[in-house]
Amino acid sequence: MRRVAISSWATSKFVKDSKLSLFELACEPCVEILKDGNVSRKDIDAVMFSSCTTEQYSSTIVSEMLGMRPKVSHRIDNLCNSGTNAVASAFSLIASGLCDSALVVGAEKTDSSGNKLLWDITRGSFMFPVHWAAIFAKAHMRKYGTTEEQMAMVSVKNHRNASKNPKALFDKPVSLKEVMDSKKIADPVKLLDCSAPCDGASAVLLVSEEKAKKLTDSPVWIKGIGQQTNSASFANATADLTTIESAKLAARDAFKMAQVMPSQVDVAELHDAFTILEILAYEDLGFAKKGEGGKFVGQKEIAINPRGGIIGCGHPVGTTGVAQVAEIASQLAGAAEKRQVKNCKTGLVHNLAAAGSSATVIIMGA
Amino acid sequence: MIGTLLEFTSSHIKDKQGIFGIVEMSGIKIVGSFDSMQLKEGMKVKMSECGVGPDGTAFYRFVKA
Repeated sequence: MRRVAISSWATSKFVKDSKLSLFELACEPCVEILKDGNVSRKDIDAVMFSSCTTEQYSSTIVSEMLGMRPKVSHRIDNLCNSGTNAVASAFSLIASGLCDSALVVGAEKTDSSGNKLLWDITRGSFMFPVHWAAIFAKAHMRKYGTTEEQMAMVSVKNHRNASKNPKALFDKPVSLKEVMDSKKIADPVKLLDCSAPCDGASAVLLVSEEKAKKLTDSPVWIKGIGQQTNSASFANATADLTTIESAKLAARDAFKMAQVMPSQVDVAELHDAFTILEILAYEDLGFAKKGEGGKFVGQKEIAINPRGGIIGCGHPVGTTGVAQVAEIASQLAGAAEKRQVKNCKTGLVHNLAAAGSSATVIIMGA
Repeated sequence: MIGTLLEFTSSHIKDKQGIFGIVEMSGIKIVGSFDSMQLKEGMKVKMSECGVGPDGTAFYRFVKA
């Protein structure tokens, strides 16, 4: 299998009401990559478009709008997990030798009709994602004594990090009191425990080792990928309501492939669509012991969600996983400006879909 | 049908207010509503009503068994 690097990346400003169409939005970070990335349109062998749009032929439309004629062009949709699924597919194309380069583009508008999972009737009339998040949070509190304050601290940290990220939807820190006093949505989840849907786009360019040498002096390597799909429904996602089983299995495979231990990770982007998910991720990824995720909030060993995570940046569903990968690439290349984590060598991306029914974990290295 | 209540909490979202929980029945897990807060994880419950609401979404209601 050939080595695969990320040679360049770009992310648009995440906003609530972009005046751009979905396809215009998708082109924005790609044009930035083409301007700054030392790569020409004819060098792109594949375009993978990650979005929950129901627009047909969308990847091919984005390719044409960018003036590209790639060998391979697909749209990938797997709800919130779409972005890293697209990265995994691009990785496979290059590792196998089918392509030398693949541009992964994530773009989403708040009103993308494919953002909602209507198929899962096991949720009855409680179909909002916050309902399953509340169930996870309640179960973790009951079994392990995790507190509402510990969950709120995740939001405080991620909003603080987002305030250093010019691309984030939210640019102001929030206090613990503000999170605790925010509107109750589904006990114990409050408004500021939740991420917000928004418009945004992100792109990363994956290349073969040979091509990476020509394009950049500081490639970021994809060292391990793990993916697991357990179900489409909340009901069948996990047997234990205090664990995202798909993430645990994806992490096991990613760490094995990368030959890295959780203790070696310096920086991570975790899927914090709700604060409880970041706490579950600490445990599922092996950063904290089972049941001790709540106490892990505020630790200083690993920089978690330096861009602000999903809570601070906003959640353009099909874009999120790509933006997470772009952030870790930026951190490992030492290009994250005000939010740069010092001396980071190993990074991790954790991306989930619908109640953790599927998960992807990607491990990257400088 | 009798099932086991795995976890429950309450929703404050407009038109979705009330107590809801996840119930396991014959190996199938379903999220439904409860009228009473006198609940405990692990207790036996039974489905009292199910159907499709005016907005086209399925609904399930449970009571103590």
